[in-house]
Amino acid sequence: MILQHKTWQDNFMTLETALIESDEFRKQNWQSFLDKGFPNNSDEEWKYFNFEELFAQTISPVYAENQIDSKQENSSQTFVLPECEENQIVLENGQIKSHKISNDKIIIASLDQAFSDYADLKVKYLNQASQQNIFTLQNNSLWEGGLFFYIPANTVLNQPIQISLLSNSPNCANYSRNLIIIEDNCQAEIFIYCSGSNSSVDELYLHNLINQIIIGENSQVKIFFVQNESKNAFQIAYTDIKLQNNSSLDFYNLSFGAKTSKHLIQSDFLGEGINHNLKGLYVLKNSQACHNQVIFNHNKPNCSSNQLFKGILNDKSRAEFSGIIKVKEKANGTAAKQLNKNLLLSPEAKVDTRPQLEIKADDVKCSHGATIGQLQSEEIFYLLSRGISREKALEILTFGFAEEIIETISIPSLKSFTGKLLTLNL
Amino acid sequence: MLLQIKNLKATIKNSDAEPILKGLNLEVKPNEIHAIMGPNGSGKSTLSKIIAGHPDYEVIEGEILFNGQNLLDLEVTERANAGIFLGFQYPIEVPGVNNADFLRLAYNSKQVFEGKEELDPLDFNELLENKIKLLNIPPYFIERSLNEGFSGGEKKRNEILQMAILEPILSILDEIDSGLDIDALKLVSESINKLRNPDKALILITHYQRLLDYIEPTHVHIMYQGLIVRSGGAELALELEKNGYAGAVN
Repeated sequence: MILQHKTWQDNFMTLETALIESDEFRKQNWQSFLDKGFPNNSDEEWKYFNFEELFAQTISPVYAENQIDSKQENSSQTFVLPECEENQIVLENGQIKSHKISNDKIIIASLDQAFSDYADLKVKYLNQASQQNIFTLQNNSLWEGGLFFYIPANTVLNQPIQISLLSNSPNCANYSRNLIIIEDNCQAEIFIYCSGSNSSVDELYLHNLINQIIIGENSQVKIFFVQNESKNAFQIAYTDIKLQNNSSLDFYNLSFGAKTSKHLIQSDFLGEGINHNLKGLYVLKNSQACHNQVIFNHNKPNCSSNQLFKGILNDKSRAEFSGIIKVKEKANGTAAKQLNKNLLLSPEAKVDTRPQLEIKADDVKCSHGATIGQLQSEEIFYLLSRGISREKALEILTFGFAEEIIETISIPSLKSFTGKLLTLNL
Repeated sequence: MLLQIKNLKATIKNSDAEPILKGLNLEVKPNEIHAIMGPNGSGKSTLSKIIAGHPDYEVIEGEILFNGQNLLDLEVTERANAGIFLGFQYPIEVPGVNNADFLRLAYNSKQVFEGKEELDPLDFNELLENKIKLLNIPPYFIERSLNEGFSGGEKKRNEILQMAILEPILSILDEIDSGLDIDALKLVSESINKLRNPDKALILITHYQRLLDYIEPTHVHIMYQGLIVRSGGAELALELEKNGYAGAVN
C-alpha cells in the first residue's frame, strides 16, 4: 500500500520481485531498463507521448491479487465474434484462462510452458523481438504465463480464431506476451481483441503487450488487432512481425479505446515475394491519445507493402503517426506505399504525422504521404438538405471516411462490430 | 401562396463584400413552374442555397415565407422536412453509405418529423422499387454508395430519385441540365414531368432554353446582379435564346 504513495517512476525503480531474480534474461533486461531510465520527450521516438499524464497515475508495476480490494471477482466476460464461438482463446493479465479450438493440430500453451518444454524455442524467439525501449524491457522482465500459439504447416483454417487479451489489474500494470507462429503453406484469420475485463467500468491499468508473429513461406494470413481498452487505461504495445518467402499478411490495427495507447509495429521482410498490407484506423474522442509507430524493413528483393492509416479525431484528442520504410541495398523490385490520412472533427484535436522513406536500392517504387482535413461544409449541407439530422449527417460522413478500411475486413461480424465501435466513439 | 420572397438581401457570411442578393422579390404558387435564368454570377445558385439554408450565406434584410411560415427561422434539416428540396448542381459523393439505406434514412427522417411511423427496410424497398420503375432508373443505382463513382448524368438522375422519394412541396433544381448530354437531358426531364403535381411547385435554375423545351415553365425570370430584372411567360426564354442576356436586360 505504501507503494501507491510514491511516484510511478519510484514504484518501478525500487521494484524488487523474485520473478526478476528468477531468470538471467529477466535480470539483464531489468538492469537495462534501470540503466536506461524513463525516456522523455527529447527522445525522438517518444517526442509526442504525454509522460506527465502517465506518471501522474498511481500505477503499480506488478499486479498482486491480494493487494487490491477492488479486483473483479466475477469471471471476465468479453465480446466474442459469432464466427469464433468454437475457436477462441481468452487470456487475462497475460495468462491463459480458457481456450477451445476445433482444429486439433493447432498448439496452444502458456509461453512459460512452451519455453520450458522446448529449450530451443526460448533461445530462438525470446531474444528475437528486436526493439528495445523501457516498456519492452519491462515486459521482458515481468511477463508471466504468456501465449504460445502454433499453427503447423499446411493448415488451412475455415474459421477465424479469436484471441482475447483482457486486462483485470486495477491500478496496476499487466504484461501480455504472445508468440504466434504460423508455419509454411497455411491460411488463417486471427482476431486479437484487447479490452478491460469489465466493459462497464472504465478502470485504470497499464497493459504492456508484446506480440511476436512469424509467418512461414507461402502462408496467407490476416490478423485483426482491435484495441478497445478501458477509456482510463494505458496500452503500450509492440508487435514484431517476421515474414518468410512468398508469404502474405494483412495486418489491421484498429484503435478505439485507452486513454493513451502506443503501438510500435515492426515488420521484417526476410524473404522474397512477400505481400504485406498494414491497415490502421484510430477513432478518438475526449482527451484520448493514440500513437502509432511503424517500421518496415524491406531486406529482400521483390516484395510489396502497403500501409494505410486513417484517423478520426474529435474533441481534444491527439494522434501521432510515425512510419518509416527502410529499403535495404539488395532489395530491388520493392514496391512500398505509405499513407496517413486524418479527419479532424474538432478544432482542438491534433495530429502529428511523419511518414518517412529510407531507400538504399535503385530499382524500387515507393511513395508516402499524409493528409489532415476536416469535413467539408458542402458535404454536411447536402445531407442536411435531405432532412437528415446534423448528428446523423456527421456520422455518415465520418463513416464514409473510414469505409476504405472497414469495407476490406473479411469477417462479416467483425466488420459490423468495427462500425459499431466507430459510431460509439464519435 | 407557397413561396414568398420579399426584398431579400444576402451576403456571404462574415464578409464585407457587396451583397449577392440586393432586394429580390419572388412569388410561387402551387402548380407553377418557375425558370430562373441569368448570366454567370447573377446570384441564381446563391438564391437556391439561401432558400435551402446554406450556412455560408447571411440574410441581412427581407424575408422568405414558405406556406406562410418564416423559413429563415428554420434549420436546414427542418426546411427539408417542411417540404423544400434542393437538387444540387454538383451532388456530393458519400462513400460507405448504400444509396437505398440513405434514401430510407432521409424518408424516415421526414416521417418522424411529420409524426408518422418509420418504414422498415422491406416496406421501404417496395416504395423504392415503384419509384425506380416510374423513373426508369436501373437497379444498380440503389445498390451503390451514394453518388460514389457516378457519372455526371447518373448523379443528376439520383437527385431526381431523391426528389421522388421525399415528395417535396417545393423543388428547386439548380442547373439540373448542366453536364447532361441530349439523351440524359431527355430522361431527366421526363422524370421531372412525371413527378409533377398540382399541389406542388418547381423552380428550375438554368442557363439554357434547351431544358425548357422539355419542361414547360409557367413563369420565366431573368436574374442579373442579384435582382430579378424581368419576368414573363415561356416566351421570355425564347427571346433570351435569340438575343442573349445582354439584349434581354438592357
